Amino acid sequence: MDAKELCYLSAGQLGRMIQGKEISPVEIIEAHITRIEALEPRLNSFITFLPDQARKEARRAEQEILAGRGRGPLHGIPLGLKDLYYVKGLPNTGGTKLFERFVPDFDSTVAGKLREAGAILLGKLNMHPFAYGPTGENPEYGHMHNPWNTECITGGSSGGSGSAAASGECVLTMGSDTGGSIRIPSALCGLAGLKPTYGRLSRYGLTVLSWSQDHPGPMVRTVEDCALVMNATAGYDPNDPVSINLPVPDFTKGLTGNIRGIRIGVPKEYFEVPIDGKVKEIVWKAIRKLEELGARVSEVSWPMYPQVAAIASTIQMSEAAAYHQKLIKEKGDKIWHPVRLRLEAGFFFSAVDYIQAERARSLFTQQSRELMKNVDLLAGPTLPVVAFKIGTNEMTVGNRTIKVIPLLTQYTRPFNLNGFPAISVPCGFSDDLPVGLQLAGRPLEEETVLRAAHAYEQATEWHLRRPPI
Amino acid sequence: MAEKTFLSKETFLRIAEHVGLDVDSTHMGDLHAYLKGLLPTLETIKDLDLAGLEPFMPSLTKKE
Repeated sequence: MDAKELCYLSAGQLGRMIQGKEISPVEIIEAHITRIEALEPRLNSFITFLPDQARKEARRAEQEILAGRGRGPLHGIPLGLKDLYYVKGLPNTGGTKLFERFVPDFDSTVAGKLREAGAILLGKLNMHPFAYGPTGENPEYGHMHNPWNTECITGGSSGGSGSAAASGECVLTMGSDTGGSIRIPSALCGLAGLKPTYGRLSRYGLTVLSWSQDHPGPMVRTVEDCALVMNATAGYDPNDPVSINLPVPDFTKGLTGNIRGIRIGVPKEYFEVPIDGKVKEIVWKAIRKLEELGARVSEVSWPMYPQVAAIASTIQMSEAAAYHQKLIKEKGDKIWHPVRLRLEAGFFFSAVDYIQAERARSLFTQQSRELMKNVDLLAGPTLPVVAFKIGTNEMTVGNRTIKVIPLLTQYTRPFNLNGFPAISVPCGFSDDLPVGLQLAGRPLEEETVLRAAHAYEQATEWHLRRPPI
Repeated sequence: MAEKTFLSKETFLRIAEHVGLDVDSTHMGDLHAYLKGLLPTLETIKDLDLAGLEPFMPSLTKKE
């Protein structure tokens, strides 16, 4: 097997090969370092690259495994973390040079759990500054580039995670999702990206954008790898006040390929907003495929869907302004202009505006729970368009011209607002660029989400396509 | 019908000063223009009937 092919193996495949002593973590890490060095001038996925540390950890992993002290399926697997996951002793920029001197003295809970599971950190990944934008553009550390077409955006804010996983620079990457920042780059880069239930994975040690909507989660190339990362990272953390204190299942158990009888609802409101015709056709084909596999598909209505953007924006902008208040006042002129505008806007909402948005959120969540009494999953597009050129501010879709931020977040935000789990998986290509299918489930039912996504993935070959890089 | 005015320049500057932004910065014009575009899009919350509802609190710890 050549080094490039090796870099496209999944964590599940590599883990089985490592356990079977067919391959060593040292070989795997070396292949990935070579690939990163070759691709970084074109992709710019990394802010901090750690080849020497990774080589050292790989040798240690090899010794532990040979000595019979293997730590499980992620032992020896290459990992990249979005540069807002604290790692002890490493800079944590949050995508801005304003934070480049900040070096945490402890690990975020998720980074610590992945370290304990034996994953090997290759570095920290580029992102939209402050995680505050869905395109993956960053004038300070350089824009991220989509491996399917390097003139196009990766999506964001976890853009470096998207490009690194899609190009074979990393096997595992972690993103965070406040309005779609895991699912958007996953869809645009052709990955499986899971935003778990709010509170399933600890937020402890992650730079905040919006406390009540921030979700950590995996961005990888297969649904099995999502499940493996969930097994390693989910669970109660007393350091996170909203962490869920319930037993964690084995997320790989449900990956049987059997979705017979699962009830899938397709909100009719999804197709009353701007959506590219080809994307719509591809997503409907994917939904029909789920039906062929035994799911029962029906149209449903989600009347408050049109209000989601207003509610989520009010909450996100208020919380982001509160969190960054001191920085905005003292160094606002050094923040990238479009991010600065969004941060400062939060100062212009009143306490009453925020509380009313939270009451509206209660209503939306009630409505979401009611809706999902009759269906197990909601299905639809992750995005209404495929990746577009870096620097684009607005697009014409159908007969409407719309700014890219509301366009890119129109299908993802509902699940940040209600906290329900949602995944994006590749479901086709338009103009040689990936299209994402979004499947969302009830709270704490990641297993159902993963089961359906896995069944779809295994019945199709979209996840096996490789970008031309 | 008269068009509703969202955030007059005077009100904008008063709030900006109150929250500690540099009101003499040329950037203020951009921020005011941005807010004038943004705020009307958030008005839909006011159309919702929120009677009897409390603010949202994460309560996902019980499986329903």
